[in-house]
Amino acid sequence: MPADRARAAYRRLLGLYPRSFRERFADSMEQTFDDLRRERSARGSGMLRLVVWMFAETSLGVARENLAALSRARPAHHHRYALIGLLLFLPIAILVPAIWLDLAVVRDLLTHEGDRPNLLGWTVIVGGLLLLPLAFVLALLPMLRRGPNRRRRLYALNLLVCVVIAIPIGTALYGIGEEIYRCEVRGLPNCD
Amino acid sequence: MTDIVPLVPKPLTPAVFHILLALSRDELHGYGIMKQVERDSQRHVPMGPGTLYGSLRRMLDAGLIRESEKRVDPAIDDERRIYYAISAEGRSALATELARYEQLVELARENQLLAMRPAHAG
Repeated sequence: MPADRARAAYRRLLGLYPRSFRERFADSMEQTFDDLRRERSARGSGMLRLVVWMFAETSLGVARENLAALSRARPAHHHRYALIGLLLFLPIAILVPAIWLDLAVVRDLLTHEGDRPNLLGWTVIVGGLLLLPLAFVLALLPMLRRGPNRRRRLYALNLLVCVVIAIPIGTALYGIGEEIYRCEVRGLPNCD
Repeated sequence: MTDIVPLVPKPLTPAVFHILLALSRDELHGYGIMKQVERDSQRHVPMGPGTLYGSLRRMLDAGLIRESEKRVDPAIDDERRIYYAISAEGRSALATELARYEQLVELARENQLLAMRPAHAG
C-alpha cells in the first residue's frame, strides 16, 4: 500500500474513535504513525508488517474507547439507547409481519420465486436475528448502570423497548428449543 | 475525572507502569514514550498507538500525568507535538507500585525462588 494511501486510511480509522478522544489525540496519533513509518523506512525494513500491526492495534483501541465512552455516557442519554435498540430491532420488526401477511414485494425481494430465501433474504433474517440480543442489551444498559447516588433507575421507554424486543427473542428461543425437544430428545421422525 | 479512583489503588497495568516509568525521567511526546518503553522493557511490552493513547487518556483523566508546556523548536521538529509530564500523583502511584514489586521480590528471595530459573531460560 503506497504511503499516502496508508496514511489516509489510518486517518479514516482514527475517525472511528469517540469524538472527545479524537479531538484530543487524533493529531498526535497521526504523528506517531508517521514517526514509526519514518523509523521503519530509515532502517530499510518492510512497511506492510508495520501497517498491518498499526491498523490491528489501533482497531482494538477504537473498540476499547467506544466501549469506555458508552459506559461513561450519562443516564440522561437513556432515550438514545432505547432508540438505537429500536432501530436495530427494525429489520425483524418489519420482516415478521411482512411474512405473516405474505406481502408480494417482500416475497419477491427476499426469496427465490417465493420459495427459499435468497442471499438478501438470509442476510436480513440472520443479520436481524443476530442484532436482537445487541438491541436488547443496548436498551437495557442505562437501567443497569448506577447513577451518582449509586442507585439504578427504571426508564419507561427503555423498559418498553426491552419487552418488545424480548418477544421475538423468546419466540425464537422457544421455537428452537421446541424443535430440539421433538427431534433430538423425543426422536420423532420427520419432525423438522 | 470519572475514573480517578480505580487507577490508583489497584496494581498498575504494564502499560501504565511503563509510561509512568518513562515519564519519571523526562517529559516526552507519544512516540518518545513508545521508544522509551521499548528500551525499558527490552521489547517485552509491545505498545502501539491504540494502547499508548488509550492509556494516556485514562492517566490524564486520573491525574497521573499532565500535558507539559514544553514545545520544540519548529526547525527541529513538529511544534504541534504534545509532551506529557508525570504529576505528583503519578510519582506517588509509581512509588507505590515499585514498593509492591520490592515486597514481592523480597518474598521470592525469602522463599529462595530467585535462584530458580524459568524452564525456557536454558
